[in-house]
This record gives sequence, C-alpha cells and structure tokens, in this order.
Amino acid sequence: MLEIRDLEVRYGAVPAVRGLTIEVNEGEIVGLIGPNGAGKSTTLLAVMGAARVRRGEIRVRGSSIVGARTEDIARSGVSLVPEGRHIFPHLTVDENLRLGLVGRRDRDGVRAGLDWVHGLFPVVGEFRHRPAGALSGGQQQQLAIARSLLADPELLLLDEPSLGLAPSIVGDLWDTLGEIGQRGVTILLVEQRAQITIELAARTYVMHNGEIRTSLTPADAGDTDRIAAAYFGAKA
Amino acid sequence: MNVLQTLIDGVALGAVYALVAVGLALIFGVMRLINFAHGELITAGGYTLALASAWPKAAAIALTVVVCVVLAWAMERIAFRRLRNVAPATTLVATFAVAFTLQAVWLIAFGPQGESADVLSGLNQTAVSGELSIRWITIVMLITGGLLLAGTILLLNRTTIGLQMRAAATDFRAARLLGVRADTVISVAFVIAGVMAAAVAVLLTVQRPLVTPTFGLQVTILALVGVVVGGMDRLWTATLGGFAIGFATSVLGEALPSDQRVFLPSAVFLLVIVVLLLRPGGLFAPRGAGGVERV
Ligand SMILES: Nc1ncnc2c1ncn2[C@@H]1O[C@H](COP(=O)(O)OP(=O)(O)OP(=O)(O)O)[C@@H](O)[C@H]1O
Ligand SMILES: [Mg+2]
Repeated sequence: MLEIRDLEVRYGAVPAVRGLTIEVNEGEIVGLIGPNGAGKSTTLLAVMGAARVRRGEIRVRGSSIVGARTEDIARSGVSLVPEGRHIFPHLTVDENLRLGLVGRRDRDGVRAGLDWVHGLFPVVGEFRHRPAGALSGGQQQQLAIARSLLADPELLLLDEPSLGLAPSIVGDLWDTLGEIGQRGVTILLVEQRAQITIELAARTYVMHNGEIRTSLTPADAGDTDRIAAAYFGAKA
Repeated sequence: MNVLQTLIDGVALGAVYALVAVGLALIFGVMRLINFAHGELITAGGYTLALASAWPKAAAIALTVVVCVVLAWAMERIAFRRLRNVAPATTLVATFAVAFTLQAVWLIAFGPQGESADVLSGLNQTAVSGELSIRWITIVMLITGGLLLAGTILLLNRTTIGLQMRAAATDFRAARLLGVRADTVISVAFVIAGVMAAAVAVLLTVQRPLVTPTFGLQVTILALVGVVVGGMDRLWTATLGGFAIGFATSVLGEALPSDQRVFLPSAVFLLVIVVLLLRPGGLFAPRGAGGVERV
C-alpha cells in the first residue's frame, strides 16, 4: 500500500529524514516510533506532499506521489491526522466533520460513513453543535480521527494520537484503532508510547536522527531492554 | 444640521466602505495578503462605467462586474499565486507593484484629467424631502451594501466552498491536508473581492462621476485603515472597521465647515490614532484579545 524508499527531507540545510525506507502492506497496522526530533512527523508530511522530498521515492498503491499536491494526495485515499490535531476551533464539531468529507472519492457511502464514525466516537454526535475548540483534548483527538475517517481513506496516517491522553483513554483509542484496522484501513501509526505501539502493530520501525534504526514485532513487546536500547539509541 | 440626516448619510457611506473591507478581509483571511491593489479593481470598474456610459444601464453595470471579477481573478493567477509561500513583506511589496503598474496603465490609457462615468446620476435626486432629505443613492447604497454583506455571510456559512474558506482562513495547511484546494478557495476569495469592487465603483461614481487614476486608491487606503482599526483577523471586525471609517468620514465631512473640508482626512486619521491608542488590538476585537507580543 505504502512504500517509502531512501527518503531524504531537509529543512534548509538541516536533514530531518535521511535515507528512510519503510513499507506498509495493505490492511496492516505499522508503527513508527522514536524520540523527539527523530523525523517521524516530517516523514508523514512528506507522504502528504507537505514537506519537500529531496531524494527518494514514495509510492501509494504502486504509483509515485512525489511532487503531487497535498490536496490531491488527500483526495486520493490517503489521510493524515496531524500532530496536535489541527481541528478548527471556531467551527462546530459538525462543520469539522463535513470538512473530512472533502477528501472523499465517492459520495455514495457518506451516510454509512457518518454512522460508522458516530458509532466509534459517540462524542462527535453528542456535541455536534459546539465549537470544536470547546472540546477537551481527548475529545478533539477523537474528532480529528473521525474527520479523517470520513474521507474514507485506504491509508490512514496518525501522528501521535495518544499525546496528552489519560492512560485509560489511550486503551480505548487503541481498541478503536484495532477496529479501524479490521475494516480494512491500512494504518501507519507514529507514536512516542513505544510498548503499546509495538503490541498493536504488525511491525514497528524505530527511528532515530532521521534514520530507521531497527524494526520490532509484537514478540519484542515484553523485552523492555531491547525496546529501550533501540529507542534511546544504544546499539542493539 | 439634522442629526438623523447625518446618521443616515453616514450609515450609507459606511455600507460602501464595508464592501471594500470585505474584499480586503476575505483575501487577508485565506492568504494573509494585504491586497493593496484592491483599489485598482475599483478604478477599473470606474473606467468601465465611463467607457460604457452610453450603453443601457444594466448592461454597463453587468460589464463592470465582469471586468472587475476577471481582473481580480487574473491578478491572483498572474501575480500572487507564485508568491504564496514567501514572506508577507514580499507579497505586500508585490501588491504595491501591481497597484502602481495598473495606475500607470490608467494614466497612459485615460490621462490624468479623468473620465466621466455618468451612468446612474439620476439617483442623486431626492427620494424623500422635507425635514429629512434622502437621495435615491443613499437608499441604493444601504440596500446594495446590506444584500452583498448578507450574501457573503450566506456563502460563508451555508455552502461547502464557504466552509472550506473558513477552514482555510484558520489553518490553511490543515485544510489542504483534508483535500481543500488552495487554488479554489483563493480564487473564490478574489472573485468575491471583484464583485465587491464593482459594486463600490458603481455606487461611488453616482456622487463622484469623475474617475481618475487614483479613484480606487483613495477609497482603499481609507478602508484599509478601517480594517486595521476594526481588527484584521476576523471578517466581521474588519467589516465593521470599514463601516466605521466610512461612517466617520461622512459624519466628519458634514460636521466640518465647508471651507475646512480639506482637513477631513487629517481629522479622520486623528480619530484613528486616538482609537488605536485606546484599543490597540482593534476597535471591535474581543476584550483581552489584543496586544500580541511581537518584539
Ligand atoms: N518546520 C521546520 N523547520 C525547521 N526544522 C524543522 C521543522 N520541523 C521539524 N524540523 C526539524 O526536523 C527534525 C525532525 O522533526 P520532526 O517534527 O519530524 O520530529 P518528530 O520525530 O516528529 O518529533 P516529535 O516526536 O517531537 O514530534 C527536528 O530536528 C526538527 O527540529
Ligand atoms: Mg512529531
């Protein structure tokens, strides 16, 4: 579904992603973890055409999307839930959701899509007429994910969805991500919470300083030493 | 001086300046561009009316709308689109360049003396006389202003493209990440600005039919001041700011003895300075919203 080969992205002279290669197969949930500044968000922005690719290749369903416009990528079945949510605080919850529909390729399933996200995240129905900025952080995160799902993406990119959420809520969110994966949506999950990401994902890449250091599977989830070593950059 | 009379005239001119403000504020909202060249759209509208003054009135007005909209669209397409990702100071300079280039075009094509756009001068006749004397143009300004402002609000609040524009105005990148087309929302903002400019040209030429190369510039500078005083970050505060400056200009103009009318701009700007000292965040900005730390 998503193939990134030898990706390089720089901000000015500073390299943020250096020769990154990862693959996400159809229907998989794949994790991407790493410390602050590792280049995780930059990688997702490059996929969305929102960070300029210096070198390398990004393919979705086999066709290259390097150089395509952000809005065209968003309309082609790829959706990003950005870091920090980026809901529109002055618009109502309903209006935020309607903006999710902009990226949809076909209009047929709108009704069913709305029912689905309202089932997954009842809060977006309950507070539909409130300004989105009046929701709590966790509710805003749910809104941001619901909004992306309404684009009916084949590939869902999530940038630190657990940020600022209480542990019990993260548990619920993880169940929901599992459910979304069950529906056939392919997921690339960027996270700081290493352990639970490794447990959920078929494969979790560990990123450091713009490079992939190693990849872990759920079998490694119990091996905290190995995770810590990979995460904090000691040679594994 | 009849107070009610002064108020009515003030509200009517305020409505016209509010239309200029909407054009400026919509473009500022979606692309953080202060379009100094907005005035040239109004000037272009004025010249179009002058050239078409022998036509049937409806056709002359329709042509004016078409010219203003096409010019607004072309301005963005040719000059500003490429500059979308550069620093705001650069784009501001670019809008100066477009404005002065077009002023040179007007000067070469039509000369400095001005052209007479005498299309709707019949509206200068009084509609109501007696204690109050209200001319038709005052009524037309109020109705046109009200309808166009209401139309803009409906477009923004009741249509999909309006929703996309509001989203893009708050967080352009987040909107694009959802599939909102940058080119489309920006083009629509310019097209609306073009419609507003055409309306302003038609309304203003009724009282001042002489169109000179700086016809639109004067109006736009004043409206821009109003927009900043009102609060540029929000459409409604910017629009109210435009309204307020038009209102103040009209009221001060009537209050000043006729031999001192030359001081009108100074009086308006004095008022502006006082307002900015008292409410630096914008006259209509919510309390506590002003005073962004910049240095
Ligand atoms: N807009 C920007 N301009 C300049 N440098 C940037 C920009 N965004 C990110 N960087 C730099 O690029 C590198 C990678 O940043 P990125 O945001 O991709 O990291 P991240 O892995 O998502 O970190 P975090 O976990 O803190 O979100 C960092 O060194 C950061 O300072
Ligand atoms: Mg990040």
